Formats: sequence, C-alpha cells, structure tokens
Amino acid sequence: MRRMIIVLTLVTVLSGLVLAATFASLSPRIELNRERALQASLAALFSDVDEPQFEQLEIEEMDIYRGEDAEGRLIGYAVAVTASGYNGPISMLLGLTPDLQQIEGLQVVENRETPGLGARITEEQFREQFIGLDPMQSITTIRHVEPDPAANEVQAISGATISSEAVVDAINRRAEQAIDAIRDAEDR
Amino acid sequence: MSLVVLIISAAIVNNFVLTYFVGICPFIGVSKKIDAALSMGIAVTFVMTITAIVTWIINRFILIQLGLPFLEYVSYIVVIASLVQFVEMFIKKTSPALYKTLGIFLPLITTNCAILFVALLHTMRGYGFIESVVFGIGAGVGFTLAIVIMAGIREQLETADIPKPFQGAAITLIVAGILALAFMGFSGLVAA
Amino acid sequence: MAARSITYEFAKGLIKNNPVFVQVLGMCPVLAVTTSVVNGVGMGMATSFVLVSAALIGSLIKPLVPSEVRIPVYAVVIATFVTIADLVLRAFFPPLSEALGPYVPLIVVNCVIMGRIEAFATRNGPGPAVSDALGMGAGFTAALMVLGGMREVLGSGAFFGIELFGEGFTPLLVMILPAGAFLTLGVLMAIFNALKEGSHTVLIRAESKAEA
Repeated sequence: MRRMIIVLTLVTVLSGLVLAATFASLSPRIELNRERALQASLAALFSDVDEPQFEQLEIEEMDIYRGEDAEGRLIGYAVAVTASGYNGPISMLLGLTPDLQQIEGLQVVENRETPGLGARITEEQFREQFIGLDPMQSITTIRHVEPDPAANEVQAISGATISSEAVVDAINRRAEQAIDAIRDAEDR
Repeated sequence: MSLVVLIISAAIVNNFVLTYFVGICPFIGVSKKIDAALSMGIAVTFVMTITAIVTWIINRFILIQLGLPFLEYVSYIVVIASLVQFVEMFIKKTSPALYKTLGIFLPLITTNCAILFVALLHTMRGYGFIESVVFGIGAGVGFTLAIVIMAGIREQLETADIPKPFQGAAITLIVAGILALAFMGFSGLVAA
Repeated sequence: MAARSITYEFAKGLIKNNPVFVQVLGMCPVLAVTTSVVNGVGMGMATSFVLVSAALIGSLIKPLVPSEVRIPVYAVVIATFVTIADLVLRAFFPPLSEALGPYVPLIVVNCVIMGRIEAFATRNGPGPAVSDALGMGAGFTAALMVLGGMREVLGSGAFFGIELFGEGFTPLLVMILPAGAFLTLGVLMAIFNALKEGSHTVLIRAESKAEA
C-alpha cells in the first residue's frame, strides 16, 4: 500500500516538473505565435497600407485596435468580434474606417466551421461583401437573390446559412457598442 | 445560450459520436444488443456528468487559481481514472444487480474519449458550472441515443446477407455514416 | 513468448496487426482529423511520438510499479507526453495545432497507446518495446494518411493542399463531412478484409463456377 502511494506520488511530481519546465521554455514562443497571428490579421484588414502599426485602445471588455500608417496617420480601427458558429466560437476582426462611417473589411482569425461549408466564411468572396457597409445600421442576410449593398445586405453562403448568419449577428450586436466606445476613448 | 438549447445541441445537433467522433470504440464494440448498448449509455452518461462536475471544479479552483494550465490533461485523466474506479466500487457495494449490468463496461469507460472530451470542451468553451453539468448530461444522452439506435439497426442486420469483407466493423461504420447523414438533418435546429 | 527479431516487431504493426484496419483501435482521431493528408500525418506523428516515448518509459519503470496502480501511472506518463506534444505543436506548428484542436489532448485516451503498453511494452525490454511502438505508430500514421488522402482528393479535389482538377470538378462535399469519414473508413476496412482473406475465396468461387 505504501509503495503504491509513493510510486504514484513520485510519478505525478516528476510529470509536473517535466511539464512545468517544458511549459516555461515554450510559452514565450506560443505567446509570440498568437501575437503574430493577430498582427497578420490586423495588417490584412488594411492591406493597402505599408507597415501599419496597431495599438490596443484601453476599453473594458472589448479588444479594439487603433491603426496608424508609418507616418502616424490614422488609418482606421479593428474590433475583435466573436460569433457563436456551428462548431464553436468564430473569432473575427471587423475593420472600420477612420471616420467610423463604413466597414473597412472583415478578417476571420479563428474558426472551427465545417470545411467546404461554414469554413467558407474565410473566403474573400464572402468577406468582401461587408466592405463599405454602414456599421451603425443592422446588416441583413439574404439568400438566393443578389444583395444590395446600399440596403446593408450580404448574401449567405449557400449550404452554410448558420455560419453566415452567426457572423452577421455578431457584427450587428457588437458594432454600435464598439463605435460608441471608440468615440468615448478618442475624445479623452 | 439557454440551457435547453445547450442540451439539444449537445445531444442531437452536435452529437458526440456522429459529429465529433468521440466514443467510437464502445460505439462499435458494444452495439450488438440493445440491452447492453443501453446499459453502456447509462454508465457513460453517469460518469460523464460527474466528470463534468469534478473537472470544472478542478479547473476553476486549482488550475486557473494556481496558474497551472499545463497540468490540465494529466489532472483530468487522473480524475477520470479514479472516478471510474470509485464508481465501480460504489456500485458493487450498493447494488450488485446494477453492478452485474454495468460492471463490465466501467473499466472500458476510462479510455472512452467522450468522457475526456466533455472535460476538454467545457474548459475550452469557458462554460459556467451549471452549463458544464448540463453539457455533460446532454452529451451522455446523445451518446446513449446513438449507441441504442446503432444496436437496433445491428440487431436487424444480423439476419441480413452481408458480403463477407463488410461483416463486423466495416458495416457498422457504413451504417454510422448513414446515421451521421440523417443527423445532419438536425443541423440548423439550434445555432451552435 | 519466444524472442522475435526487432524488425519483426516493427513490421507487424504496418499490415498484419495494423492498429486501425485490423485491430480497429483509436478510431476517434482516425475519423475526426482526416479531412486532409496534412492533418492525418500531423496527428499520426504526434500519436507516434507519444506512443514511442510512453512505451519506452513504460518498459523501463515496469519493475518499480505495483500492479494495482499501473493503469493510473501509465495514464499519467501518457498524459505528460501528450501535453509535451501539444505544447510543441502550439509553439512550432500553430496552423496544424489549430486544425487538430481538441483531438491532440484526446491522444491521452487513444486505446492504441494504453493497449501497446499493457500488451507489449511492459512484457518486453526497451528495445523491442520501442520497435513495436514505432511499427504501430507507422501503421497508424499510414492509415491516417490513406484516409486523409482519399477524403481530401474526393472532398476538396486536392492533395496536400494542391488543386488536382480543373474548374470542372465538383468536390464531393460529403467526404469531408462526418458521414464521409465513416463511409470511407468502412469501405477501406472492407477492402483490407477482402485483400487479406478474400484472395483465395475468390479463387475458390472462380473454380466452382468453372466446374458448374
């Protein structure tokens, strides 16, 4: 009995030590990967700007980034938006123009949607529909017919209505709130 | 997300066996007879629910509190292994009849990936305590549903003339494929 | 058990005792992550790493472990190596790590690993144990690769991410959906069975037909 406990404790302690060491040596790299992925998605939102710089605004409970070009001119904002997709959370970045009147673009940072169906929300054909829409108005998803950008419409991906609507819902729920928060933060 | 939606999502729309492919080993191994399948399903649901409770507490009050996220897998598997052992001892003492039906399945449950999957998913999705428990129950019910339906089909298949190479695991997998297609009909019932 | 050569212990995992097609073990990752070849190979390598490391440790510490606690002890050893594999994937192969998602931690309960430790590693020296684990790992990886390849070619019209067919090809979407995983594996398993046993039955049938 005593031997059992000693062996089990020993194995667990050893395992803990090995893992703590591995974690300590690898976690800076894992952090760096996460940071790089975020920076890459941010840069992709403002792809026509050379060497954009981003700085996170100090806003509670929301991740909002302020983008500047190499000369320090404001190029727009990026708001982290999470949708509840078909297979789990979809994390996205919503780009806004400097005057906050239009959507600059949409990037999908992470998703677990079905490949070939829901995962097509990452395709440009779907994402580019959001460019130029009014973030203060509710966006509507339509099917089968051509969307009218002036009426804030986007076309759902056929066969993946749930994922498409999840994306649109999340943007509708977050955009206005985020814009208010940006206005508050920038006034200060 | 309301709890009703969560339970339907875990049990039917995102059925553990048919969309996440967890718990396949017992799904193929113990689905020859409806009775056995039902017992297995109940045993899994039972262990799953307790696992969800215990691992939630461990994650919230030990792993997060002490900043030890890298011990997640080790601690979860230890919890599951000891839990199964404990449940086995408990049932043996209190209800020999129940032990007779569930007994042989319990050791198999330790290596049933569905149990660990419940623990991993509620951690990954950041569910609260009640949500985690409901999620555990829903996933267990979904597993039971899948394995009982499969057993029902296999009882019928016994009289069918199946080409020799397809007998056994192969035909079971193909039936599972058709079942998975049927369950796709539920997608869209609830979002996520 | 009569001592067999190290090469035999390696080779048997590839075909004769293939963990997937013959032993029908470790099904969860086989079905879940084989939407593409890359995912299949990644999962196969990660599993092989855990399998070999755990088999080595298992065979080395065997004399020290009382038999009552051997399952929990091996489970801790396996979970430790799985965590290491997970951290390494996250640090050096972030896209793969994201694609495999929660199926990396599920290696902990992959029955192939516990099965090989229980049935082989603890009954043999470290040499044969590692060789056996390497063979099983290779057989497992090969199975995942075949399945991933078939599903990627038919379901996305690509192989290793390279488009194979022109615009005219409509991918069979069902192949990358859960249903496709079950169907493909079922058919592959039947083919495997037919090749293994069927070859002479076919001959016998052909003969009896010829006689009639």
